[in-house]
Amino acid sequence: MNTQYTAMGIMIFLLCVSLSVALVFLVVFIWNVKSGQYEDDYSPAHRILFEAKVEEKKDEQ
Amino acid sequence: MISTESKADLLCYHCGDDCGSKPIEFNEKKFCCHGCLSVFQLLNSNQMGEYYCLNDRPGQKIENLPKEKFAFLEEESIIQKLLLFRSKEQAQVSFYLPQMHCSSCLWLLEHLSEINSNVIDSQVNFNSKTLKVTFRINDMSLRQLAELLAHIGYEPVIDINDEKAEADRYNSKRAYLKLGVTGFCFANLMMIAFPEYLGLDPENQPKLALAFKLVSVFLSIPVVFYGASEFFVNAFYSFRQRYLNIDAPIALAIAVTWLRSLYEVFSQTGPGFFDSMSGIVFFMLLGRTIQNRSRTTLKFNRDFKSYFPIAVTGIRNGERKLIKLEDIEEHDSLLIHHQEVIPTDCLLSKGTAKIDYSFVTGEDKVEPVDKSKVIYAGGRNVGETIEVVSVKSFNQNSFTQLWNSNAFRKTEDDRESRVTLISKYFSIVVLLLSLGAFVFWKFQGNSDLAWKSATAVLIIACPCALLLTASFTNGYLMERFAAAGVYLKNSFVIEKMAAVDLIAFDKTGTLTEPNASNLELEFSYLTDDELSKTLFLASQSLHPLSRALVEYYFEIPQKRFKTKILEIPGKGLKAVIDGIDYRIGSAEFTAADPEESSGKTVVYISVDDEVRAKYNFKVSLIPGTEKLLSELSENYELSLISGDNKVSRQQLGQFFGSQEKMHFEMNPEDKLNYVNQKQSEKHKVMMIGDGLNDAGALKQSDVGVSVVKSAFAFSPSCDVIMDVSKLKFLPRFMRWAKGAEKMINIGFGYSLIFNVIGLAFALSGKLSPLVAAIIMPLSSLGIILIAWMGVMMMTKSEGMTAGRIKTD
Repeated sequence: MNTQYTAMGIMIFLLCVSLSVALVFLVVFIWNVKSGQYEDDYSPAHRILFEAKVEEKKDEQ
Repeated sequence: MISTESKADLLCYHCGDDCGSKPIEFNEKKFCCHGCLSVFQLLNSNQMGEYYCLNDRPGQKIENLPKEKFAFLEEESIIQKLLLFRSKEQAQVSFYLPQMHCSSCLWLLEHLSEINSNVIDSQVNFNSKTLKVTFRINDMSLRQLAELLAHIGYEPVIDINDEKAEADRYNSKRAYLKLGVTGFCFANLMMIAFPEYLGLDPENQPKLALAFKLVSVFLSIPVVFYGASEFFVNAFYSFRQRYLNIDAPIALAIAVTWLRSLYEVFSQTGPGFFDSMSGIVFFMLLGRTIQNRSRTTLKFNRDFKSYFPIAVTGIRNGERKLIKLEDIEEHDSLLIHHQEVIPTDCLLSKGTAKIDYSFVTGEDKVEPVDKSKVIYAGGRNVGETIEVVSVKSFNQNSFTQLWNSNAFRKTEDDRESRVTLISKYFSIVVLLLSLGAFVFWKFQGNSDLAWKSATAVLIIACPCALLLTASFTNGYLMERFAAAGVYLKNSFVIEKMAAVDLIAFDKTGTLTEPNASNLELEFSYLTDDELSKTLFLASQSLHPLSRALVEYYFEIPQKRFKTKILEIPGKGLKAVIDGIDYRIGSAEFTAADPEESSGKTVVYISVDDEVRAKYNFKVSLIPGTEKLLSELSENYELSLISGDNKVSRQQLGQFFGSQEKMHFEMNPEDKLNYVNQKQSEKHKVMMIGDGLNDAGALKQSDVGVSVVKSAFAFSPSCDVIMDVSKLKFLPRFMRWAKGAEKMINIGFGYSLIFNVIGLAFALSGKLSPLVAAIIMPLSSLGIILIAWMGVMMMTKSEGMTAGRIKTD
């Protein structure tokens, strides 16, 4: 009887934890959407490929 | 044979256009024009060659920018409206730059500060094609910023009447939020449902089972009240309009499922159907989002006001100032520069005017206007700067009248959609079955089973499948259309395209090259003196052929002669100068051989009854038009409605079958009436045109297609926007639309199988949540797969690249 009770308690606990973790991701997703991250899905990908030449140019001059 | 290597050599290094026979060379690179060269030099001098490294030939060819084009940006009230933010030293503005199409554009626009140091920061939003610029307002005016952008090939398209754009963009955020929350709940609900299916015994572990059930209830609430809210709202809306669209039975199914599940949980008779329900809602939302997501920033509902400039230069109280369009009053003196659009009906007071009405009336010619003749709103000044006096205020000119017609007041709903029709029958059948099951089991004395089976029928036989297949098929197809350079207003247009049986074409700019030189000289033995005399004759006539002749010889200085000219309609012109008889006209009129020119439009010149010159009038068709028309005529009735004169009647007749199918000299109202008439004859009409003269017809027709050379220029209210070079693929696009219908039927048929199996379970009262949880996702996923594969297979074709719509 004791073991059954403990097992169930653990299950419920696990359920709560799993939901909470998922909830955190949901909140982050909502935050992303609201802050406009998905408004432009083309630029960020290409921006990282641009070379930062500003430093170089200054050095050259 | 030119090898591919040297062919590439002939393309402009900047914009990729053909350099022709005289490329401009600089730095061992070739350019097609000075505009491209100047941009290259500008970038080069600022060490911005990276622009060309990221992509090949990324530039845009720039037209000569009229100096006054952005003059209206000096007007304080307009500046106020456009600036997002303003402080003592800085200001921020967002410009719509539809020309951006690649990473080079992105790079260049975000490095704007390296071209002009008064730009502090610039950020691109590629999806909406906008650029946010922060700049020093005291050192660079808004006008100068716009001109800078235009200089490098990204001329801002400014429309201050644009309030609708904001509303549209907001919706996609909402859709993503809904999708996210619903997806979260769906996934977790499925996870929690597994223990129940895999052996969790509620009797042995009641507390655990109860815990899971409560969490399920809790998670289902956002799905029903937030995720599924649009189904309830749409159903209610259609109900108020007195018809039932597909959202109605779906809303019913969701409500019944949820309520029964709640009942089961609280009466402890079962775990409920929360997982299946949330799965269905999630997939349907996904379908809707894919269907409604628009990758295009093109505007389909342009008001005619977008065609006009925002403000014009006027002279009030002796001084020049900018007058906004709405503020133009009668008797205002206005200055209209080269390439500017006439804002209102007016009289010419200074200068010699050459007005191009082609966009407004569809007439393929430039009209010279004398002083004190009326110039109508909408025409474009292609001559020197002129001064005019307005005779009407802006809102009362001949132009606005067209837009007041009923065609523009139509609102559209999905009442007539096939999906709505099918769902109506579907709903009736399902309700009957549900009722039948209830009655049957009640008779058998099993009240419990009666309720169970009745509700089970409503749960499983959801027309969700129909909505799913329609939205996914349409959604994918819209994307394929966009990739092929055809932009549809919404997915309902696909259905309407499939139903079309009559296609009406505009002529100028759609089938024929606008403003092309139409006369071809076959032979001429005229002396210079004779030529100038005949030209004088021609210049006195308004007949399009005479005008074409004058245009052909525009380089020759015009001389005047004293004589009386006789014009005989349908035949030609004649006059006697210095005792010699000069005639221009048809074969019979000029004593030429009529046999020679039958079936063709020909102009002869005779001097003293001797044929001296012959000109053929050619209709310069846009390449591919002949094939297009012959292919289409196999399946569709074709007709031509043009604002131009009947000169091209002969040549075009062969494509349209009979000459009755061609109508010329139609003004905008005539075109609209034509479409109306055809529709009353039960035809489904597709209208293809490009000008304002087509506006009414485009709007009234079942599918209005606007063919554009430059998508950022104004295109009147329509359902489809496509590049004129893509028009030759129209038969293929029509086949796609018809194919979509077939695809939807297949998907629906597939889901019907599952529906039948599910109904078997439901009617016998044995629909357990497990069965539902298997059947519903299987059918949904299967439909999505069928839709995707079907559309991919159908639209896989060679040689259709998404050309960017060019700015020339």
